[in-house]
Amino acid sequence: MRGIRGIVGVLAALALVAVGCTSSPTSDSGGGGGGDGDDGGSGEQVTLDYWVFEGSDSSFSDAILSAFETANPNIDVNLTAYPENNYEVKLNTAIAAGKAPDLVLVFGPEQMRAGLLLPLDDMVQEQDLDLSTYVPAIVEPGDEFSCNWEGQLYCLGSYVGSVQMLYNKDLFDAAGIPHPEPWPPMTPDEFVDIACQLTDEASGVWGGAASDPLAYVPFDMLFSADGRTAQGYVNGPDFVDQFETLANGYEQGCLPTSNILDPWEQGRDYFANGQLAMVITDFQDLPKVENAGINYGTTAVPTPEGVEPYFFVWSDSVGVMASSEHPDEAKEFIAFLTTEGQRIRYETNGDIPLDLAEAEAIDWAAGISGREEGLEILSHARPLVFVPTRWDVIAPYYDAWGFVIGGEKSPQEALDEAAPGIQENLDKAWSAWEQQG
Amino acid sequence: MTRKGLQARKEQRAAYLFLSPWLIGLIGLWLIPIIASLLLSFSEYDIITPPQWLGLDNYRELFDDRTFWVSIRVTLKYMVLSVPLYIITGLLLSMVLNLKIRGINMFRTLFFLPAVLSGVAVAVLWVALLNPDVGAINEALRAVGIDDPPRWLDSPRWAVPSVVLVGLWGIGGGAIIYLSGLQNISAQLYEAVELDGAGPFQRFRYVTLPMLTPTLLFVLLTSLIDAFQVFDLAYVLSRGGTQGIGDSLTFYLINLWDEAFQNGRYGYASAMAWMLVLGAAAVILVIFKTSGRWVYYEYDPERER
Amino acid sequence: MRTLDEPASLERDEPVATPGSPGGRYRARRLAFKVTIYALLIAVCGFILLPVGWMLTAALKPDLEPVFTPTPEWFPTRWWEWKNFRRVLTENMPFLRYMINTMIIVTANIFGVLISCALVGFAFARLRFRGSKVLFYILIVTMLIPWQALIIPQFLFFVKVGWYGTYLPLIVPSFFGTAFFIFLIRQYMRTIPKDLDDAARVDGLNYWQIFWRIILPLSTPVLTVCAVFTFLASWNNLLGPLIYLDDSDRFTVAIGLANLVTRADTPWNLTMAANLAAILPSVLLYFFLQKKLIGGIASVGLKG
Repeated sequence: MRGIRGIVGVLAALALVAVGCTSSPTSDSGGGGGGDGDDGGSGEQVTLDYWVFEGSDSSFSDAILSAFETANPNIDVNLTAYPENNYEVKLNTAIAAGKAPDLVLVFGPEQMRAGLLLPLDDMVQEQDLDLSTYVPAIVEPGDEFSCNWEGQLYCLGSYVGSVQMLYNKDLFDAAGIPHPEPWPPMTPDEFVDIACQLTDEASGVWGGAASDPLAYVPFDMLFSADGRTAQGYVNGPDFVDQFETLANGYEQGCLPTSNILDPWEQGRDYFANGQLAMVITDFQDLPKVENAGINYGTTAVPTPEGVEPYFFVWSDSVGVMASSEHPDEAKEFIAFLTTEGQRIRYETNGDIPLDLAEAEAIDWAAGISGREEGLEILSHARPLVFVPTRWDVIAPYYDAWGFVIGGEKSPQEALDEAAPGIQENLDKAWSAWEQQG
Repeated sequence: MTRKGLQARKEQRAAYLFLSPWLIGLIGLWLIPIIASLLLSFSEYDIITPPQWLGLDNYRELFDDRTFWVSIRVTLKYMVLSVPLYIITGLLLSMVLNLKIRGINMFRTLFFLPAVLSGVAVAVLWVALLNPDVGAINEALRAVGIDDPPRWLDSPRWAVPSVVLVGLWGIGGGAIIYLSGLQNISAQLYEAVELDGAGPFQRFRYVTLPMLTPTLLFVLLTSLIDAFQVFDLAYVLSRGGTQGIGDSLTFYLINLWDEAFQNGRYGYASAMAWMLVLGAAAVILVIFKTSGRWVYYEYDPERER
Repeated sequence: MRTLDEPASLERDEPVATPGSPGGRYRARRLAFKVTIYALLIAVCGFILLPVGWMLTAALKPDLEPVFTPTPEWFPTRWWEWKNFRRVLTENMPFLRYMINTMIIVTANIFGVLISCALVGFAFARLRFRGSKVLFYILIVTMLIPWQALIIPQFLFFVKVGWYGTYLPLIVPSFFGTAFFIFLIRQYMRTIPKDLDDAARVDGLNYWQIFWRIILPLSTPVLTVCAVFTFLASWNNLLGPLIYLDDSDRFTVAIGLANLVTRADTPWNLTMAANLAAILPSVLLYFFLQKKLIGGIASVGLKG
């Protein structure tokens, strides 16, 4: 009994301390409250709240914040990092609570559509930014990664990332395989073929890696041009072909299953180690590969004959919330991000500036052919067919692939089985989308 | 007023006093959010803009929603596989962990470890373990002669069993519930039964098991509820939906979460949630009604007086 | 054949009265039983610990070394970068501060749960009152509502009340009962014999005294279970702190861990190191609280 009373007493004391210490709300919650809360002041201290996700690497954030604050002594940027997987939930709940920050990362048209972001066109004009040399996929109307919604610009960034395929020139040479052109890319058949030629179990080298056909096949192949029909496309001969091609690659042991080597998480590491001859990956973090001494070339992701190649293009799109109390200062920051910020990002991360003219000016390619090829490919970016909730819609596709890999069904069978499900999902997604809009 | 009547009134008052924290919380903290959730289930809500009333549309849409029915099938499959397995294994494990042998403390702690690990770390390492080609599980299976072991998370057929398997790893956490239940089985009961010549199985059947039925009821109900609500494990095992997940891992709450936070349809997701409450409540009710027949309480206030 | 259950008398020196078995044979059987049990425990423990060993191996690898190797490595053999632990706990996040923050929340939660759930559980367990059935059903039904559906309405409610940005939404609810624990305590308390109550009533004790002096002390095992589970749930809770807090000085361990994981380039070695460090408090707590799991009638025996 005494023991229990003792524990209860201690816990009580702690709890009282806890509740007492924390019952006052924090002072810097809310949209850019801080300091004096003055609007657009000349010389008035202003604090901007900026929410990001950055994993474990904060070197860019640190650098750009200190550079910006030095150049603008009256503006204080308060950066808070949230987990990437939960960023949306955090932001949406904050918006619902009226506690949204000034600066946010933008990753889809929902917020633009709902009018929650401020258009940046006036800032672009004021600052005389020349967006004509910026990567069109980001600043022109496009798919869900574009910053442009119905003609107005809502975000800008400091770099451009994309998905490309890197290949190891030395391994190609050793096997006598000619270097692929950066554009147009090779077909998946060729990809699997070359992978088979280059896979060498004995020395632990894989020719290529891809988790499932959608790792390189454009999403368009699954749907009609208007994105409303999947039946007949998903299980049409062209796509079934793609299933067969990749499945054969697995069967022949030319490709590692994604359990052995997850191309997205480990591809670059394996490539930098010389254990992977071709890798479809983010065209970022190239110094890791270059410092390892890999002589690499770049080509676009393998695409079937007759299909226009597609690859993801993105930026660290930063936008200003319409609820911000300091819109002018926030726009200042974005202007800085997309001009000076590019250089800073290049210095900390080695990424490609969003403004390709800037990339030229700083000689990002630095004479490395792999880099030059990557830049060239970027100019071919195109938007993707729009399908609301696309990843949910194609859920049966993943099961179909699982059946094919496990040898339980043939590609045609599996896709025939999946197609009606995908079509149903698609119809429902469209009706929900139209209802919401 | 009879003395009994007075006593009963005193007891009634005492009861409500003891219940007051929960009752106050129910009315003060939970009532409004619950009603709000119900109302949201009749609305269109994307969290960032105000909700719009829809009437019964969400519920109507549910019945035609293919993924909704898929998620029910997947969750039921998980329930049928996991509930009996977890109950039996938990019980067996707790009996072993209840033994008073040297070092049992350390073993109990070690068995408890998996329950402490959570999130991405667990998912990542189990994906490695369940690797169809080089993972430890399949290597072990091949070593005992199974040539074509299941492809676990890669195979639509074995996806749900994979989740069941990973949950089994964490069973040590739940075993402590049984452990606490075992504490009130008086040694004298065992001795009495032994004097009549009972062997270990009979001791288990006539003493341990009956005395454990209150705990078993708890575990049965909470396991069922857990199975209805499986989320964390499935969420991280399916890579948290960064890309897509197949139908085979679309559990009820995963689908709900997707609709709520990925597709911006919180109202629709709320309707799904309330459908779940209805379905689960029906099952729970049946179990409770029949529990009187097999659960033995040392002390049941209803029985007394 | 392995026996499944032995009463607590296993360790007593005199054999339990089993008619007709000579002492020597009994002892040999006991030894065989013990050996089997130990072997089983060690084998299963190995299975349990394998994944943890893998995590440790991963945590000790240097940055550029692939963490997911074709044949998983279950024990560290080549790499021993212990400094990964120091790195991730100091450089990547203010781990100590996050720990303290989390401890505050967790401790308050345990306190709240133990008090409220013991009180409410006692009522459901051992008191007869009108409405007990209905209220109990309501209790169970509240367990059925998925938190995903409540989280947003609850969030908006707490924002309205002005608790955004504080720890209050994370602490206060635990003082008002949690259905899961109330149910558990109810089941447990119903296994305590009623003779104790009767004897106490004869002695003139009121209900509070019965609760505080008789039932509660016998309930240490179930209260320990509640404390442990509350600790775990609080410690690992990510979404709660995430949506209510926006000052990174107040973040919890769960947020810190989640921040390490990105879609692009998660440093798995550091992530594993952080996760291992984060489970230490839970494990230590459990190790020390274990003794309290053993209690109840079986060790005390009936009074009077």
